[in-house]
Amino acid sequence: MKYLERGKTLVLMVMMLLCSAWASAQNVTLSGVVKDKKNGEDLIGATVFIQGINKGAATNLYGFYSLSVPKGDYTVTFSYTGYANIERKVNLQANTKVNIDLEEATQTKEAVEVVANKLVDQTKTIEMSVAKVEMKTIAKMPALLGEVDLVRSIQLLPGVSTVGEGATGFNVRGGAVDQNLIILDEAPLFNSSHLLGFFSIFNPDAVRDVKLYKGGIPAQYGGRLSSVLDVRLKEGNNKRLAVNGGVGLIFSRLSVEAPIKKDKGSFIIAGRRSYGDLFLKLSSDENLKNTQLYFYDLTAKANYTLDERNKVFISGYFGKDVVGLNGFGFNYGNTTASARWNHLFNDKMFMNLTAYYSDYSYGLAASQERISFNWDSRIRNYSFKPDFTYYANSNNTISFGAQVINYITNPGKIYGTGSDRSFERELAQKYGTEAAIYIANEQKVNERLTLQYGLRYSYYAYLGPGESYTLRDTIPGVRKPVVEPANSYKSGEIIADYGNLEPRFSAKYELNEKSSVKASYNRMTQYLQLVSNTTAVTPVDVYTLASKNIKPQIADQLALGYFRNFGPDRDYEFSIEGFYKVFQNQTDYVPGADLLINEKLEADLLFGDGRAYGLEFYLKKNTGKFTGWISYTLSRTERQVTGLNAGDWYPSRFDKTHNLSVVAMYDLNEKWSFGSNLQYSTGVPLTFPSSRFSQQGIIVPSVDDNKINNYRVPYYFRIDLSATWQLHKRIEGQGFWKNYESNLVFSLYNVLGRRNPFGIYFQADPKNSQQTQAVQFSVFGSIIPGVTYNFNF
Amino acid sequence: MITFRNSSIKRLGKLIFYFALLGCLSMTLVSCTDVIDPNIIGEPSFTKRPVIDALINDKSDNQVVILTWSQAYFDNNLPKPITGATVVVKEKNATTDRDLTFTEDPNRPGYYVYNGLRAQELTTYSLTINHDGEIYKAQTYCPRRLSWVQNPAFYDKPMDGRYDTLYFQFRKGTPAAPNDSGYQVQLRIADIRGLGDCYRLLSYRNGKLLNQPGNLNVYQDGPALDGINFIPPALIRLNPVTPNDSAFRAGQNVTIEIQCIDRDSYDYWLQVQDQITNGGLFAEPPANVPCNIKNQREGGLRPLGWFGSATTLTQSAVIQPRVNVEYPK
Repeated sequence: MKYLERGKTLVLMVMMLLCSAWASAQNVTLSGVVKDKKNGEDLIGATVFIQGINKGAATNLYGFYSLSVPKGDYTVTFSYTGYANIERKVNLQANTKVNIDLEEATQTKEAVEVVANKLVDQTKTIEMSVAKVEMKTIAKMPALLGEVDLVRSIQLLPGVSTVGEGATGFNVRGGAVDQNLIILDEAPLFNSSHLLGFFSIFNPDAVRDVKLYKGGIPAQYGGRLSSVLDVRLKEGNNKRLAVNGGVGLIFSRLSVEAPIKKDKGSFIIAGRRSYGDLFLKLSSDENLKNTQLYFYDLTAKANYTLDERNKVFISGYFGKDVVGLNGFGFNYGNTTASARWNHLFNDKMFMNLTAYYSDYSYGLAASQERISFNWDSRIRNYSFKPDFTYYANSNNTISFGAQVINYITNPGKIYGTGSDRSFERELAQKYGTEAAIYIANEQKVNERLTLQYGLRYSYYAYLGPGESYTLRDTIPGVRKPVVEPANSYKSGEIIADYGNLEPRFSAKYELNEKSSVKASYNRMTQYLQLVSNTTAVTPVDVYTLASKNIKPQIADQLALGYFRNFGPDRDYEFSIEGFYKVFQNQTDYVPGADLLINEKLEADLLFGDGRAYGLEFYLKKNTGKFTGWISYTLSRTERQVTGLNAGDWYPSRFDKTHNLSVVAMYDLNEKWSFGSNLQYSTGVPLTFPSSRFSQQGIIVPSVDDNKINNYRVPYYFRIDLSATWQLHKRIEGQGFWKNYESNLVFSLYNVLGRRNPFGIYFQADPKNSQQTQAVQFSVFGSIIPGVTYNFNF
Repeated sequence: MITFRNSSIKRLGKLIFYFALLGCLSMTLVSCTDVIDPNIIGEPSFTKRPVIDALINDKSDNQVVILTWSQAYFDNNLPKPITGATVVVKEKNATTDRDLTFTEDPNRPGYYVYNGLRAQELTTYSLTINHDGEIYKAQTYCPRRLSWVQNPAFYDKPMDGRYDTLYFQFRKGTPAAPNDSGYQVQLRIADIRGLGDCYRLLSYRNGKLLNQPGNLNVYQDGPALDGINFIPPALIRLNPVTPNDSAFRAGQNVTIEIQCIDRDSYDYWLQVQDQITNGGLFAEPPANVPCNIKNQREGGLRPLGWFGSATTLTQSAVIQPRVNVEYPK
């Protein structure tokens, strides 16, 4: 209960802050929405800049801006990267609304655009440790089998890595895959991958904006330790019907967007389906014929502007992966639905109210003859989340809000038929509630210094009905004895609860016109986690809630960075960031841990600390015929768990000392453009069995000194190339072809054909089980060519 | 309170996952494995430790305890024997209590044998080894015996006349070995009624043990599986691991052996199974398997291995060509 008390204090503080901000409001307010002229999409992060007094603001996630200034005549510049600026003369005598439609820059307007960038470039904003890739850029990069992919593109940015090709998800600054909050229009996704990790579940045709926060995470976000991947869907063209699509080797995609009512509301619906299994059906081989291997996803969104002050959105995602072979199979899929309401209380107060539902279901199945076996698991959550922004004056923007999330997990159910009778068994559902409130202020102290400070308070309760076991202490590193019987709790009764204050702080100081330094600190708390002890997480690993025996995970991160823009048109960006991160209550597993269906799973878990630190270098060229970036990360990620590795620190399974990516794109002419990637990284850590012994004719490995991850897999190196051939370009004129655009993308993945090691395993020689050998496993052993046809009209 | 812990099901899950994954990877992607020179990573140092390898069983009157030294992981020579040790096994149950001194076989160094012991159910076996001033002790329990006798309680839905049979089915290749057609063996045997039974299953082709890592096979009952026929995980691993091994063919003699083992032994073999079949996209970090043998001296050399005991049940049949036939008739 003490946690709830703390929460109340915070609410009081919020109210006081708001009152003081209101009192200082003397000026007039310029506000409005910035949209894309072509399709009516809101522009996120567009800049509104008042010349003369040098005051500016950026649009929020819904394209809204608000700026309070003294009365007067002003020239206001509206700008957005890649779009032509608009200048407006505004006579501000009273609160004024100016809605602006910006138009995409053509080649000739490029000079104008570069000037506009000055206002929003990385040296001016307070954000640090943010990775952003434009969807336009992602489309140009070489991709596996020619299919552009959001998550795989993000892995080429500093501080982001993966344990290996085809591994699900991504690791940010030493964080595990489940420590990333991946949200699609506010609703969280529990698995971001299709076909294990080869493609992400985001349909590039439906995504408008992607932003990855690695540090300096704003107070409005919480619930995961390491990052927030905020994915925003397109709203749909509200001017005319538009169709996007593509045909590739693995899957095809199609999206349709259209106005519901012109300039008032629109929708987009986008789908993808892989078709490998359809080809397999044609096979004469019985086994191949019966193989199931496919995924599909459907993404949809609609929005409607009710009036000047109210706009509503609904978004949904539904995807599924099915893999089945010879009667063995697994499947998994996310479902999310979110509804949002944007409301303007007045020109200064903006609210977004979100309600969402998210569901991740996964399972295994086997059948042979009359015997079948199934295992299913699921996590569901629904949430209610009001977020407010109060544009107090031109120097202070206050955001505050709250969130309640209810979790229901089904840890596992098995059912099936034995040869003589059917069986069914289910682990009890588990319930948890997470609630949070936050407040933050972004304050421009002076021309050079901007601060962002905030506080988030999160409270979590693990609720009945349910049971809780008491675990007895034992030798560290082995399964803990369980005290029987378990304590039983009634419905709604609190089994365990936790509360955490999460301070968030960022600062930017401009050294001069071209460079700035930034610093940030944040604390994050996480109340649920993926239980997985494999190199790459599997789609069927179980999500587990914090409980009496599983304490919430906490991470503190400190980051410091230097940012500089240079070049004749300031079109080169350079940054260097250092970070230090400390993790608490990180989970590891006793040897032989039983993770899939285990009522007493907690007895098999070990807890320890983690730390990660590193330097990230980033050089990027944004404009011109030749664009691209170089990203290099030097880092270390370690764990310390009592009972493992003799209690000493050891590198975590996703530790990579060096990680280098070079991405280059070249637009040759109207017809052809080229792209290339280069990736180099240190191999992931490896535990090497030092000795062996024979047992009943079987050779058993032994790690003599109990050391973990004391060797490394050889380095990873890969080059990819792509060429885009523009077939149709939008032309002036009439008829169907007026808006038709199409291109062919050719790609060569792993041009060197290098057998990059995913891991090395130690095993008996299949030809002689008394001999041992080391085997390197590579996900790709050759060049993978690809071709995709893309169109839109 | 019903405990719900069923490790064979966990392994089944993993197995299903691997099977599905393996096929799909090999068919649709170009994943590959290469045997590499271990020197790329370097040779770790290790301490030579005594290894105890023993299973007191009821297959014959001759019991053996093998003592060797552990060796470097890539040392493919035969392990060095430990000679000159004293080995004593104590057999204790409701009616028996005796100490049996094993003698070293002069022809096979490191082999300590006793003629006149056959494992009995519900019996505790204790091992004491004296070597080079160190004393090692271990204890194992031989649990109740499984039998082929049909349990009338489960005879209500007869399948093909009886439960306890071997059964062969012709299969036209697998995605991993499309050209290797052969017979899959299936086993119909019911778990002993009542919770807590553990088994290790072995299969022999023409008397030769199938000994690929994928053949290591343990099974445990559970609330959902108590008293019912063994379910697939046990049945899959009875078959040769293709393509490394060829499928069962007509005319071959197949013997299935089921050892009734205690829970600790089950856990041991399960962890061995984890360690020797580890690999691929979802490999787990290597870890040491448990050991039930203790050096009695604090700080003394830690031994490796397992001292186990089991009663066994075997069944043999010759595969008849191209007909789904049940054995024995």
